[in-house]
Parts: sequence; C-alpha cells; structure tokens
Amino acid sequence: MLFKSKFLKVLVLTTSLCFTTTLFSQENKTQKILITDNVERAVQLSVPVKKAVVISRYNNELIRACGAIDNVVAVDMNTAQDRVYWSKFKVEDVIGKNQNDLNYEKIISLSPEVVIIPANGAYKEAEKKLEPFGIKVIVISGYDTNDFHNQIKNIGAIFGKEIESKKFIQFYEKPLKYIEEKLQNVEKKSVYWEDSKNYYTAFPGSYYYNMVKASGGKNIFGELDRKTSEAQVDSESIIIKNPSVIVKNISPAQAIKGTGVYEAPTIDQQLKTIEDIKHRKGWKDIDAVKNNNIFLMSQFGHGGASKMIGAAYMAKWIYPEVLSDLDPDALFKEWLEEFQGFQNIEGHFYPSPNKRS
Amino acid sequence: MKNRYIILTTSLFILIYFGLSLGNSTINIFNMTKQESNIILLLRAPRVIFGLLCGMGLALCGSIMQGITRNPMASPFTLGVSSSAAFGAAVAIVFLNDNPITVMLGAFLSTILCATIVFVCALKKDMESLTMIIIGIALNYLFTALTSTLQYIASDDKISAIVRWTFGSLNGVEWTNVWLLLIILAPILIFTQRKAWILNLICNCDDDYSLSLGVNPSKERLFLGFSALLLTSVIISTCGIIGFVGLAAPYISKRIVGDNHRYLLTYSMLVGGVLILISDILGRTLFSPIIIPIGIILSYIGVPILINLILKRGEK
Repeated sequence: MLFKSKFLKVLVLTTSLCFTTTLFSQENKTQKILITDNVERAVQLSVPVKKAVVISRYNNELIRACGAIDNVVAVDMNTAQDRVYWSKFKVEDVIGKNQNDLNYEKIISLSPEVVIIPANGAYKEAEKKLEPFGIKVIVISGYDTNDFHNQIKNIGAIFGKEIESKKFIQFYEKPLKYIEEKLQNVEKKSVYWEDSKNYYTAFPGSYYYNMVKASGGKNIFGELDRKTSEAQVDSESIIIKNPSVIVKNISPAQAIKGTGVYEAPTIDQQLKTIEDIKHRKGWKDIDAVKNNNIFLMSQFGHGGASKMIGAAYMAKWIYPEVLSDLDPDALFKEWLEEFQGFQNIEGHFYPSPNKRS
Repeated sequence: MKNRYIILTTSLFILIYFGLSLGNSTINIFNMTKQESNIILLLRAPRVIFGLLCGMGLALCGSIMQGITRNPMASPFTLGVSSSAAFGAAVAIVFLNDNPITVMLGAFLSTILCATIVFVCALKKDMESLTMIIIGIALNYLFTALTSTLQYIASDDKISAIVRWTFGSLNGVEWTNVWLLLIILAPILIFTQRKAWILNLICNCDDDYSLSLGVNPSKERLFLGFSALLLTSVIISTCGIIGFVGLAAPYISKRIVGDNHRYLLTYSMLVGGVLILISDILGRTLFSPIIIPIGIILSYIGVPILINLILKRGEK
C-alpha cells in the first residue's frame, strides 16, 4: 500500500514536471539538441538559435541557402569585404579579419548564442575565450564537401530550418548524381586544375581535388598521395602529363587575395589570363591549349553550394556531349536567385558552356 | 638615474591603464558593469599583463645575449632562436599534439639546438660578432624554411595554427600563460641581476682577466645563455615570433642608462614592456574591430630602430 502511494506520488510529480517542461519549451519554442560538428565535437545547444556570429563566406552562403541568414548578426572581414553580396553586414561590425584573427570583445558585445567557425580557424582558442560568456562555438566548414550532408543538417537543426536544409541538400545532390550516372562508362579525360596562384594545384584529400573528382575529370596529379592539400607544381610535369582540359580559378583584382566577391572578373582579365596560359613556355603542345580547352572559374562562382556549382561547370566543360541535359548556367542562376536571393550575374565562368556550344 | 626609472615606470602604468581601458569599446575600469568586468578579467587583463611580461622577458633575453656574446646585435630574433622556437612548436603541433606543455618543450629543445649551432660555429671564429650574426641570420632562414616545409605535410587546421606562430599574437593568451611566464621570468631576473657584475666583466674584459678574478666566463655564459633560451622558448611557444624587442629594448636602454648591466637589465625590461604595450594597444585600436597582430606593428616600430642601429655602428 505504502509502495503504491509512493509510486503514485512519483508518477504525478514526473507527469507534472514533463508537462511543465513541454509547456515551457512550447512557449519559448526552444529545445536542447546535441550535434556533432565538422571536427567531431559533440555540442549541446538550445535551438533554434536566434543570434549567431558566422565566420567564412562559405558558411554564410550555406546558412543563407538554408534561409537562416537573418539570424546572423555579424561576420568576418573576408565575408563583409563584398559590399554587394553581403551588404547586410557592416564593415565596422566585423568580428575580425578572418577565422584566425578574432576580436573576442566584439563578439561578446554582440551577445550571440553561437559562433560558427570553420575547422581551419582558431576554434579551440575561441571556445576557451567565449565559453565563460555563455557563447557556444560550433565548427562548420562550408568548403568541406566530404561532410556536406552532416553540416547542412546541422545548420537546419541549429536555426530550426530543417525543411529548407532538406531542399538545399536535394538541389546539391541532383546534378552530382546525374553527372555520376552519365559518366559511369565514359572514358575519363585528364584535367589540370590550377588555383588563382599560378602553378598551384590540388592533391587527393583536398576539397578542390574532390570538386575535380565530382566533375568526372581525371586529375593529372591524382596519383600523387601528397599529405598537403595544395602545392606548387613544376611546369614541366604539366607539359609531360599533357592534360586534355585546363581549368583555372581567378579572383577579381578588387578582392582580398584568394577570396571571392559577387562582382565578376572583367572580360579583359579573363582573356588575358587565358592568353597568359597559352603563352607559358612549352605549353603550346599541350592538348588543352591546342584544342582551346582552357576554362576559368571565379573564386566566388566555383564555391557555390559547397563547390557543387564548380563541379557542374567543370563536368559540362569536360564532357559537353555526354552531359547534354546538364545546364550549369541554370544551376548557378537557381543558386543565386533561389538560394541566395540575388540576381543572376554572368562572367564568373568563362566561357559559358552554353555560349561555347 | 632614479628619474629615468620613475619616468619609464610611470609610462608603463599609464600604458597598462590604457591597455585595460581601450579595446573594442572604452571601459571605465573604476566603474564597470558585470560584463565589462568579465571582459577586463578574462580578456584584456591577461593579454596586457602577458604583453608586459613578454616585452620584459624578450628585452631581458636580448640584454643577456648581447652581454655574453659581446655583440650589440645579438637578440633572440637575430640569433635565429625565435625562428627555431617557432619551428619546435610547429613540430610539436604537427607530429604530437597542441598540448601547451608539448609545444613549449618542442620550442625549448629547438632553441637549444639553434643556440648550440650558433655558439659552436662562433667559437671556431673566436666569437666574432659578425660571424655570430651571419650564422644567426642563416639559421633564421633555415628554421623559417623548415617551418614552411612542415606546412606541406600538415592538415589544413594545423597549417593555420603554424602560420599563426609566424606572426606573433597575444589573442589567445590566458591567465595560465601569465602565471607560467611570471614563474619563469622572476627567478631568471633575480639570477641575472645578481650576475650583473659578471655580465659587465664578460662584456668588457678578456676571458683571461675574468679567470684571474675567479670568474669562469664559459660556465657563466652557459648558465646565463640557458636562462635566456628557456625564457625565449616559454614566450615564443605562447604567442609566436615577436621580433625586435630583444634587439631594440637593450639598444634604447644603453643610450639612456649606459652599459652597466646593473641598470641595463631592468631598464631594458621596462623599455621592452613599453614597446609591447604600445604595439598591442595600437594593434587593437587602430583598425578596430580588426586586430593587427602585434608582430606586424612591432616590425613597423622595430625596423627603423634596427636600421638606425646599423647606421650608428657604421659611423663608429
């Protein structure tokens, strides 16, 4: 009898507690979740997050694609430098130059709930500095295509935008699946991808390498199992490997070195870049040069949708006949207009695959 | 002499006040909100105090190195010790882990290696000033190249950690770093201050004369040099390469208080503290909210001083 009475008391107490918690959660529409971030840290936080500081242009683009950019209160200088694409954020409100130079006082003054930072930033330092102020640090690396699904799911969960994040994942997956299926029995063409720095290329394990792989191209340096993700290569080795296609990244003159801005590189800059490549010593006999298969992607354009846009353009440039239904220009337009809320802009990819054919 | 100390100490206190008050927003340190007091206690105070101790420490290292090598151009930076410490720290980050103790140990072992090479080579040439500096510069290049090479085998996140060492920044400093540096700096200061007269002897007289007075100059050089290396590695392993303080502070101090190490050591430390605090305050406020790494600002201040030093030497 005594046991029964105690049991009932506990049951009533537990039920009331659960009810109160649920009610409280419903009133505030918040709940605690546990996520695994890009560096495999388990982070517990209350969601949806209303105020976030987000570092890296890639991360901000992904968050905007998931419809949560209004929850971002400040960004870094590398993002804010693009006064057209990121006009929402004032330069005087940036929280530092980039992911490695953070102004913690500025971050604290903005009272965000979370700081989102890429894995190549000072996230450990940020965690130590911001934890006493109740600010969580979450690692999301927009450039990391290997962890794309987990990261987009995390963005959806953090900002309460699960539906939008699923829609974005579908947009990302569809063209890549199409490319993969269509190229299954097609002989792979050799590709030399070059960074905005001349003669710098990507090796297995790097995100740029993954982009070339996703495009179905055979990276001429693919067999090199280098630990480094990107390094300078000898011009001679490119001549010997004789790529069928050359794709180079370029940055407009006004952008901070190695970063991208909404404004496209000028046609003069693009033509000059192609001419410079053609006139490199000993390059006139390379197949890509002989057949005029030299293509340019801007630092801004190629990174769209976690480099899916770059992979789609590359695929179309390399296999225009096989991938007849692939329209990278339409994808880039959809990415800008549907997912970023911006007007489409030409000139980030030269020459346009549609105009070329 | 007293007045010179009073002026510099007062300047230092004023700079500490500005260092604590200025930043992303100006804080009245005598009337703070809870958040402001947290910002001061957790962010600004450790940064300012470490900056002060770091400047003092590097200046002390510079004075010791200049004394034991009889070379006014010796400093942790010009002898390659700073670059070697950064290399040791980078090796620890890439191959072991970024545990502070491991990083510090890596930095220290690397400084020992660098110092050994400098001293062994220099001894073969009777400790000629020019030889020592040329070897130091060569090692500077070598260790910088080695650190850059490490970037080819490191992952992206480790690369960014290594790159941060090369600039020098007080952004990540915490109270534990402050206490550790204080624990190392205080006994080394007491030790070297007690050895000030020996430094004067080593610096100004032949080794035979020192021996005739019962002082073993080789042994003293070893102990004093070891202290300077330990101090340098603790500083560099926390905040990365900060050049010129070790060279500029003793140089400026010699012009004000003369060559007597009894005054030179402590006065250099005060000048070093002033240089770092000015640079850090400028770095935090010039383009706020962007923080310019202290290494960059110090280079702007230090290079003209170094050029002046070289030109003055030329006049002699």
